[in-house]
Amino acid sequence: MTTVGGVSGVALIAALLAGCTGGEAADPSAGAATGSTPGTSQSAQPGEPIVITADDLPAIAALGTAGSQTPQRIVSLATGVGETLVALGVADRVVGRDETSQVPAEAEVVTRAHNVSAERVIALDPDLVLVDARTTPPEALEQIAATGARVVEVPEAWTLTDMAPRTRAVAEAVGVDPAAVIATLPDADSTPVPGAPRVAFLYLRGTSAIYLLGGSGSGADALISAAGGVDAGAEAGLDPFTPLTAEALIALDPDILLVMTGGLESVNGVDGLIALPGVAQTTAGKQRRIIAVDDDVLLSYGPRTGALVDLLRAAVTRSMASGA
Amino acid sequence: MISHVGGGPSPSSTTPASRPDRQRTAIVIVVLALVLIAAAAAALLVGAAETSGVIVTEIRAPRVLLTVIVGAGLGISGALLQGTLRNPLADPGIIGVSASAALGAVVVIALGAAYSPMAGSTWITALGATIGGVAGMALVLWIARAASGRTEVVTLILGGVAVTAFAAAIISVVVAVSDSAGTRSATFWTTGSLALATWPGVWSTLPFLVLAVILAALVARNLDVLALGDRAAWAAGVDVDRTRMLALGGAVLAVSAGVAVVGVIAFVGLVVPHAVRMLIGPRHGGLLIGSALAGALLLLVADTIARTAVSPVELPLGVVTAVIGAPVFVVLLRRTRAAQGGWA
Amino acid sequence: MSTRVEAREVTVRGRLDRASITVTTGEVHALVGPNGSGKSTLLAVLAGDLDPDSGTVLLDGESWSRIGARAAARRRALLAQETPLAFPFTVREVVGWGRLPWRGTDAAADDDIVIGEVIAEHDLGDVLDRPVTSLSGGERARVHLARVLAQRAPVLLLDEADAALDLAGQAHLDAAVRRRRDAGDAIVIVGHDLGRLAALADTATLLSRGRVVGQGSAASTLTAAALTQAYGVPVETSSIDGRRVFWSAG
Repeated sequence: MTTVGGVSGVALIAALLAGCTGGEAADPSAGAATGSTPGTSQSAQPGEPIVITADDLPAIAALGTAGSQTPQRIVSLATGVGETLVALGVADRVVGRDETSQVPAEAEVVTRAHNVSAERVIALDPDLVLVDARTTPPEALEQIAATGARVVEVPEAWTLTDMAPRTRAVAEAVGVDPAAVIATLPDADSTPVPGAPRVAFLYLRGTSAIYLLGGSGSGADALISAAGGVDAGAEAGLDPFTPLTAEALIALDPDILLVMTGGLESVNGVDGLIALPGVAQTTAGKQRRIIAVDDDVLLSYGPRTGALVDLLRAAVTRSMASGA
Repeated sequence: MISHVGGGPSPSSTTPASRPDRQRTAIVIVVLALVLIAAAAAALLVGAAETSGVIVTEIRAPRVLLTVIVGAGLGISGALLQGTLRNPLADPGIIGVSASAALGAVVVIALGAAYSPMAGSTWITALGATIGGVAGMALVLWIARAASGRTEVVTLILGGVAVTAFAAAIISVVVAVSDSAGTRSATFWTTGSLALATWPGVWSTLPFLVLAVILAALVARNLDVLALGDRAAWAAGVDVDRTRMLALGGAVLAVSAGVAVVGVIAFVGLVVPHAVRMLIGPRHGGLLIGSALAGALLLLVADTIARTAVSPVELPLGVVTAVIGAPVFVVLLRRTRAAQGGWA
Repeated sequence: MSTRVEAREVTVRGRLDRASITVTTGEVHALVGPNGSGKSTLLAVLAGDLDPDSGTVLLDGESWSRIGARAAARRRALLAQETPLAFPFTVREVVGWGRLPWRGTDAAADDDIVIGEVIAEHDLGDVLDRPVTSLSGGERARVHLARVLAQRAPVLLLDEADAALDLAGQAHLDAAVRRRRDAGDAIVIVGHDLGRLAALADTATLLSRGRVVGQGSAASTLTAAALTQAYGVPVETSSIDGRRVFWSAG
């Protein structure tokens, strides 16, 4: 039934992650178009989106310390692993990162549109390169490995329970004890409570369909569950990032729409979102219940995910309290 | 049928089109219109959501109407282009007009920094698409114009390939550098989708279709005579340059505004006039009306498949039309080549 | 006898040099000359197909530049070597196009009568509803002849219209031309078959390298000496059963 979504799921997730960072290039004036300024999640008015930004999250504490085994020059190409490296206390050893990690800020970005530039990585003379199953192209990784750098593949994280194994793998690669960091990670994934608010994660850009619906395994579904909601796409058994018809969205009838801030800006804010075919006919559209999370925050599973879940839970509760 | 050898002229039987011909044309057109109405009514009643008043008026009605407008435009455009260029393989997609219109729309959307995916459904974007379509048409005709002044089948298609590739490349660049969701994706522009159908889209395309229909009505009879070739048609009293200008203008107007809303939809403009010609003959009066109706019907069927076949997933519409159209194109290509004694 | 079509000192750069010609009612005029001599160019100028760089062309005393395509088609008909018909229109439809110039005029009332006449005259009654594209070459030629004659224009221009015709087709065309002359039309023919032209034409113009090198009655213009000069090869002429024949002795 959902073969189309399934076949292209990987490519779509890549496009989605590319969108995360592309969003930063937005016209500064576009921020105003969302009807809310960053960091004002506590003061959002009814009818305006509840916005969660990176500034709303606590700073990442360095809980580990680099040891004698720690490589001197680390390049992180694994999806969103930067925050974990900071938490492990090796931020000053990271010389390069991919676009999906915003930290450490000093590290040079060595990917473009999610393609690794072997040349730029080799120029950094790394002794450790962290990759995951999504790192492309494989030819570049072979070239990097041929220079003698240690290339280590770490597992991806798309749910809360994925985080501990990944943290452990990263810690092992950099020779740091992960116990302190793992202790801060949220508990295992929660099962949705029957009757909980139904949240649809919509990816709003760069496709031939109007939008892609998050669905099961999108990464957002686990966050929604942890925040006390039900992922409407996962509930309907949809594959991640399914190109949905307007009518199918109406049939799903979510209570709340979860979007990325950049995506919301790209459709000209809440009014633009509701002008899309099908949105105005959902409960979320009628009640204007929209939660926007910064692009680079939403899907980077790491040390701050616990805090993000707490903010999301508050946002879901407040959304449901607003409207009729 | 009626021999006049040795007999006096019999006025009633020598009108340019015999009575049975006209009757057949009228019957086919009426049947097409009725089937289209029935199909539109059926399309209003199917979909992923439960049928209700608001679903019909806000979601399905604009989509069905936009489909009819775009499909009719494609049918008219194909018929006008084939008649004007005396070329059975002419189609707004194949000769690069659609891609150029898409480029025009993308540029207007990007320049206007319209941060909405619905930016295609505005008058200004429709106008930009039309300007792009005119430019693309002029370019491809310039490429295809042989020293003899005739447009040749091969150069026209190759010119279309070149213009389409160029437009697609620029679209990719604009989409990549623009952060506006209005520019959508390069895939959207090349495969087409009616997913963004709303009432504004209907209003932004309808006037262009109406203009195209008026132009088509003005040139229909003269287009018949163009089948003789430019010189003979001119000598027979047809203002060839004026006819061609109006017909090509109509062909661009008929598709461009639609492209701005739904992207490039391939092959409908190619296939439909051929099918209609087989049913009612080549006279443009009937052919243009029939192509408008049949184009609308074909696209309506294709789009209904696109949105319901693998529901809740939306299939790209261009995929559906290409599956139908590409084989027909191959057959026509081979037949045309055979008729012309092969191409080097 | 009144002048129907007239060219005065017409020049088309590189192709025609100050050519003049006058054709009157009931006259068949042949334009003769080697390839590239400018005869088709002169015919195109007479047809209004081509604007001369200088000189004037008058149709019934009126300058060409003031006549639109439709009005022109009411005054002159042009039959050229056939181009393939792009779509399978029927004989009835194609012949009907001959009446297009008269649409909206009083003469449109005669459409059915005129079409009936040309269909009978050119023996097309049996193929009326067949697509022209399915006919034989000879039939197609008759269709187009019927079409241009349906224009009922008093000036008829034939531009190598006989190029692809067999003997029967030529005879049919020549008979039709004579009937139009007898009805008072002015007819200009461009062709290569000197024998047929000499038999058909009352008057002739001989062109060479864009210039008129001979003009007058057909007999006095198409002489062996003049043709030898114009064609650049020895041309000889004789008469068989009162009909002149031409051949090159080169």
